[in-house]
Amino acid sequence: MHIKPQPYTVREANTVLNPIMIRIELYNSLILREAFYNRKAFLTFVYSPYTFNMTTYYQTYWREFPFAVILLLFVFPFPANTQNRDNLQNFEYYLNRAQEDSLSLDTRKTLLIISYELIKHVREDSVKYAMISKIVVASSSLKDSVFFHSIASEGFKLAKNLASPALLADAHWNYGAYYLRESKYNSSYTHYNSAYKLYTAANKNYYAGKMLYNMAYIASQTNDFTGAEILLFRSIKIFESTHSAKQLYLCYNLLGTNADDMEEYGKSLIYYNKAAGLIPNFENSQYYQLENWNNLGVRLTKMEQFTEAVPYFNKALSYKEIITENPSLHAKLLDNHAFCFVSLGKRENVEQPMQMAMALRDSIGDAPGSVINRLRFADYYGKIGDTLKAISFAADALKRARENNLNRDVLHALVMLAALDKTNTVHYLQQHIELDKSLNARDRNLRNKFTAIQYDTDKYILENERLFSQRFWISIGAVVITLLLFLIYLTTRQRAKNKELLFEREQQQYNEDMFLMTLTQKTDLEKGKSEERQRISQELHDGIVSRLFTLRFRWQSVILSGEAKMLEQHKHFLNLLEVLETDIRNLSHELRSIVFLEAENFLDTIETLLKEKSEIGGFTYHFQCTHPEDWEDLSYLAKINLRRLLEEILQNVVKHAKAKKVSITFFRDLNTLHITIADDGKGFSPTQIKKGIGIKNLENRSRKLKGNFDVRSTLGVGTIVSISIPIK
Amino acid sequence: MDTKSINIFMIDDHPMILEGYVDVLKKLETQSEAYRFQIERAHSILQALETLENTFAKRELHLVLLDIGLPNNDIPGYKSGMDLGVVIRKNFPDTKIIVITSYDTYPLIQKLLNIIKPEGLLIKSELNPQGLYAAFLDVLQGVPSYSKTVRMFLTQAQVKSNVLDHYDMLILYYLSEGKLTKELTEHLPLSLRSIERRKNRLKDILTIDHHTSDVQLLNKAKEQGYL
Repeated sequence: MHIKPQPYTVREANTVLNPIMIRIELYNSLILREAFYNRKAFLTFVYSPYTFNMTTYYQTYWREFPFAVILLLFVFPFPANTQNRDNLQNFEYYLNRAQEDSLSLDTRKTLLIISYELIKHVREDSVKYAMISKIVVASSSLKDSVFFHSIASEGFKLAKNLASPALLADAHWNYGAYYLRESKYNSSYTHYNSAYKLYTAANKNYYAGKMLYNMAYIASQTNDFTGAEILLFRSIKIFESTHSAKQLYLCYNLLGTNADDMEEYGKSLIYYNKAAGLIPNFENSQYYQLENWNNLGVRLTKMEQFTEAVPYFNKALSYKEIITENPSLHAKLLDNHAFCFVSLGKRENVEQPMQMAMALRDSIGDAPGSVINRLRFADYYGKIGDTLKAISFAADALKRARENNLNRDVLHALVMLAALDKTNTVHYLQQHIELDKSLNARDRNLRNKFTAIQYDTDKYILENERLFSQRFWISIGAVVITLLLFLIYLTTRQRAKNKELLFEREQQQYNEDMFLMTLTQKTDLEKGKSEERQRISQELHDGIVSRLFTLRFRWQSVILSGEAKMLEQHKHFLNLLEVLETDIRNLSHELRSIVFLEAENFLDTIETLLKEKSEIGGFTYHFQCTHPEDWEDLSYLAKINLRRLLEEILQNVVKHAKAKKVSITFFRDLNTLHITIADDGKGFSPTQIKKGIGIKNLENRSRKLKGNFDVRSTLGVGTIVSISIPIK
Repeated sequence: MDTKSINIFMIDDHPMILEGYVDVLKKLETQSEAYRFQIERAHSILQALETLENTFAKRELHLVLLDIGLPNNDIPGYKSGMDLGVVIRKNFPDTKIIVITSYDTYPLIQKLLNIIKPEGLLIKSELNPQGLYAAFLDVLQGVPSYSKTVRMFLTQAQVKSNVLDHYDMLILYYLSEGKLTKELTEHLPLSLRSIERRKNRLKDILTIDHHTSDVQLLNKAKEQGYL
């Protein structure tokens, strides 16, 4: 007959407590940070009794860094928050007290309720969730399902409200741990699976790996070793990427025990050795070394190579310090060691260590251990022939196993009883068959369920990945399209702008050309006119006047005789001829002067413009100009624009100002030409200035001259427009 | 009474008018009986230069009657009768010159007086046979003879040369000729800037605003006898 070895409890202790431990480590780090601001809290802080894994600690630290920031913000800048801080302090105190094993379950529950009340009114955020989660973890060991559910659902709701997948995963984890403790594998598996999905979604691979491990553990508990193996390999893949030596050790260890359970001892040896190879890679690993030896010993025990198994147990038992710290492991080693001797037939001196193991297990409430211990006692007494004692131990084991839902131990106990209690063999065997059948059916059911869940999860993850990649490509596509559109927009805008600029330049060029053309035409015309005048003038002077002079001169020489009156008249006519000669000469001279009068002159055109506008507007003007040559030297374009500016301003004066007097000044300082047009019209209020298109036009025109334009007006007093343009 | 033989050279592009002058000289010959005139004629600068070179190299030249408004027939160095006058004055220093001109502007009068220094300066529009008769007599007797306008200019010039200098006069003259201010730099050894300055000073003298146009400046200058 084969007895299930102790590794069971070792595994349980590590799997169930480990997630909790990690969180306790996290809380400790939070508390340490808080302690920096709160000495009192630090003093009441009770250090976690569990081993401290540094790798995990740092990972946790960085992962939860926002937590710390929030906490610092929460605690530090508000001195008025002492109430809150006191509450937090008290919360830690009560929570820690509630976790003391020495207290009764009721007291611990009361302490938890107090600690819960303390944080009830804290703001709903991830910090509060962390505290609630602590209470949930603590409550899961109180064997009060109503209380656990009330507090756990509170945490679940909060996590959901905060819409954080990581927190929601933590809530599922709590449920999973609780149901596992209650041996409700189905529910536990489902919750761990949900937690796994959420952690994967939140990209927290380390925790996702842990969830896979927990699921694998449940699978192995229900004899679904293949399922467990698949899950473990997946979790190993994750832990390898996160370099978590301790978690890898746990995975390989579980793979080893599974292989043992499947009686594939070659495989299990490989796994155990792999696990042993990982032990030096994490801190405080001596416990795990002993566990590894124990498991190797158990493997040999299972292979019934008892002599070879004994040295492993001996070796482990020599580490007195560690085994005294870990009574469960100690008990296991003692029990396994003794079992080897019993099996080898060396039955003296085994009773005492077995009893010691039993006492240790009973004292720490290690129910599965206690059951196994009793079964071993029954085996021992059966072997030495004390059937009565053997039956009594086996019956005790059966009772305890049933109480604790340890079905496999129940089966063992039934087999044993059937062998020992010959009178009731049939009865026990019948019970065994029934239980075995129902267990098999249950396991099969669970296996199916797990497979279904696993399938769903895989599908979910695949779908997630698909969605992610889809979203990824959609985002990339959107970004590319947006960029493209933006680029197109930019180029289009640039092109439009360029076109506009080009058009404006062409327009200006055209204006200039037109002006120059008319100017040249006009000049040509003037030149022609002037040449013609010159010719006429010359002709008059040299031809007609000369001939007239000759005629008159010679006529005057002619001596006439006749009446005195007639002679007088003759003389008078000759004088008239002289006057005519002078007139023609003057005319000839003036014809030449007119050339000047009509020459193109900028200031003259301005003057003409002023005259014109003053007549239309009925005002008198005063025009003053310094440095006329500078104004004449301006480029044609500048002249056009200035003339148009002036025309527009004067138009405004005519239309709106109703001015009596307008004074126009052209003057120059150093490098700037200034024009001011001041009228004494009715003016306008400054608010009107911005609105008009007219003023916008004037500003534009000034800008073309690289100049400044300014209007100042006072209602009822008049308007002053000033333009200044730089000289090149 | 002794009759003095006088060699006269008359230059004008209009032969008709020379006949008019000859009439006056004949009258003078018959009336005074003191002079006998030997007359040579030329109708162009070229002809004049030839006659001077050929005839008056051997014969003494007493009097030249010169028209300023002679056409310029592409002879280098001779733009008008003015240049011919300068040459005669230089080559025949003892010869008396009577200049007859149809131009009565002050700058021209001034220029003629300055560079030819003629013994007689007559303006055609003010000239009649009696005037020419008197002028011949005066000049032959060594008395300068000027037309009324020239005499007026001479009296005014004494007053105004204190105020306006030669360049101011020239500016006014060229402007009145229809030249633009910026073209004046081609005719005067002055910068545009200083021409503008002088114009402003002229405007000050004539008591008109600086921004008034050149036309007004000229009108005012004419009014006050500067032109």
